[in-house]
Amino acid sequence: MPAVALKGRLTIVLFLMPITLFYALVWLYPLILVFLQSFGVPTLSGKPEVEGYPTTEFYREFASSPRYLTALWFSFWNSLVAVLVSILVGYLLALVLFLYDFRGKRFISVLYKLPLFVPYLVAAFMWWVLLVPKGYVYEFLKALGVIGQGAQLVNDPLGIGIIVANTWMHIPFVALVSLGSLKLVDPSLVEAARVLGADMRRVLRHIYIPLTLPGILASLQLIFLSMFGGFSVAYILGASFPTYMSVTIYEDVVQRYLWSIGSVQAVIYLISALVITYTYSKISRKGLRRI
Amino acid sequence: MNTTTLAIVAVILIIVAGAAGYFAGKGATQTVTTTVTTTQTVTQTAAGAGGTVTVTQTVTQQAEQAMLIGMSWDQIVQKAKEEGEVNWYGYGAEWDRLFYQKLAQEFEKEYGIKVNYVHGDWFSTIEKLKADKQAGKEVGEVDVAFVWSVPFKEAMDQGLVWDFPVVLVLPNAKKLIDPSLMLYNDMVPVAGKFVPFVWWQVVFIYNKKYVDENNLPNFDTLLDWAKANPGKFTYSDPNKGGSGHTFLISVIYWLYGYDKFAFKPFSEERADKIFNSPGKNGMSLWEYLNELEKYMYQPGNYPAGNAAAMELFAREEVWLEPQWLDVLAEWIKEGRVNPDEVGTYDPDPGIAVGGFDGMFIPWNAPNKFAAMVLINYLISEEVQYKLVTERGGIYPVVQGVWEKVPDEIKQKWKMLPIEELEEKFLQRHAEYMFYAMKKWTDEVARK
Repeated sequence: MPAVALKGRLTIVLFLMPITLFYALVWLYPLILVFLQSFGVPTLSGKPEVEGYPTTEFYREFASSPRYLTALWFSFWNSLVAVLVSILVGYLLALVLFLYDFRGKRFISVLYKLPLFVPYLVAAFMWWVLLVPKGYVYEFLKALGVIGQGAQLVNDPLGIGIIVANTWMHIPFVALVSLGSLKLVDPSLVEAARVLGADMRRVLRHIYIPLTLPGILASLQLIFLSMFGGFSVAYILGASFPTYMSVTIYEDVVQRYLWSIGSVQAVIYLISALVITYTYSKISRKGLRRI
Repeated sequence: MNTTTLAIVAVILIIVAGAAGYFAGKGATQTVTTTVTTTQTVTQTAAGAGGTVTVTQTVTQQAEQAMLIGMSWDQIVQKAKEEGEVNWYGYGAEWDRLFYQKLAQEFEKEYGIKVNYVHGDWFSTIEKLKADKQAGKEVGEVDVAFVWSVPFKEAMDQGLVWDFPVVLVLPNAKKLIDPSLMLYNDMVPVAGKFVPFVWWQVVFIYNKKYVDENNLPNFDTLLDWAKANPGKFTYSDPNKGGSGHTFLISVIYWLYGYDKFAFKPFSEERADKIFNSPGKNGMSLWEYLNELEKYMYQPGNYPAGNAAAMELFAREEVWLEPQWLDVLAEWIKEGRVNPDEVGTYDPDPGIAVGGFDGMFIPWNAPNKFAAMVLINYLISEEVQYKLVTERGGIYPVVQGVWEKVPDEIKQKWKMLPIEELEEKFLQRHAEYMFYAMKKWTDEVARK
């Protein structure tokens, strides 16, 4: 290795040092503390919770308790459903706004962005009030015959309230990202297809959807992570059981001062998020290549 | 290639920095522990300048404590005025903040001691003190920490509390509503270091339109009432609202008897054994709650907190529920529930009293005298009277206040006679209550 190149590299490393240290302090240091605490090392709890640490005792507790396993599974599938619904609605909305001109379009395009300005906690309470019996949405659905007497839309074991609020919060994200990608599609492609006799449905299927899919899938991943780890919506609208894992962490740490099992859950949260993201990017990349 | 090397170097740096940071922190903790030991055995710590300094500090501290007991209250107030300011860390809702800030101003006017009121939450206050302890910070920022029994227990366990029984010197503490509060709060031993400030109370609230006032259910008949009025009773998820867990411990007391728990040691085995054994009506705790659930509002669906339960009541979805008196007061103030339709009562053998949220002085409080004077002020008749009349839905923690409160105020906030509550005076056992809350998720919510 030539000396000059080495010296150059060293300079770069030295130049990067301050920012690296900053990142280390701000992001990695807390994570290391959580990681150590999950093995019972008292980094967060102040005093040891068990004798003889490090120990995998808390991981075993996690694996043997239906409370935590159900919470993990519930957070996963419930967020996934909410993501799919958001994608569907958000993409359709973006298509309509992109393809059609109609009166009141400006109004609609302002209106659908409103959730972006609403804090999660406020949205959660808002949907709770709307979906609880005698709430406007609940009574409306009942009048339509969609739901029957005694139906549960909030604090229910299926997490319907969570799905509704999360979907509502994230539709604007999907719509904005999709609209952006739709606008990037080269209009000459569409013109060419139209000249060659393709109808709108074929244009959609063969031009718009394949070309905008990467953007949509990227937004899917981001909003999935934000829902999966989200707290306020799951706390306010969720049932007593099952709950999101963010809620069980809150109960364990804030109410009971059980730092170790709380940290185990945090570590598992992080790992599952990483695994999901990784698998997801693999799958979506493969899927895209096929298109 | 270049970037890969860089990335590897960066990661290594990050890990090294993280580990260094951690061990630096740990080092500090160890120093603290050693200084604590040195303080106990003064003779052993002759080595090192640092050690000597701590020893002198402790000697002064111990002398100070001995002196404190001998000091007159006027002298303490004098010292407090010399300190000139006090930092009070409180928590609560927005209306609480406004109320406490008003109290702080009035205190300032009376004593000329500046109060810095910091509105946060009890969890972050304890975490802040814990961080101080780990960093070995002997002069902190918190003089008065407002928390409740469970965080206080955590503070005691972590050694965050000033090792001095402040109730002994506070003149107003002698008038506490029940002398046991000097030693226990929710049956957590407090050794005089935790001074109660508010008495919250859960009662049963009912809708007068639908519930027969002459035939109100007590704990013995609650299940029958629920069977006769299916879907009209609920209680807050115990893990999300205090009215829920206070109800839970009250059910436990009713089923198994208060004496089984009052000031008894806690162990998970004992708790499991009791909670799974048949109680007063032949059912175990979990059997009873599951049976009750069948006739409750939307079986299996528990309101997520006091406010949610209150909202269901206000919408007439439920007719009967355990609820905090102060939450009801807030709803009445805001006009969200018709006060003429709400009734309150304490079902026999009684709902547990409390919590008695209160104050402690941290070990590293910079203005301990001013802290004592502030705490004494907060439990004065004058402030306690304001709590009852202005804040609403709260009982005083000192004697001689309740009698002065006009009847119309008591009626406005639907307060029950204090004598009735004092006669029963079932205190919550924090450890059994918390264990029951945790098990409740598995035994009731899941089933």
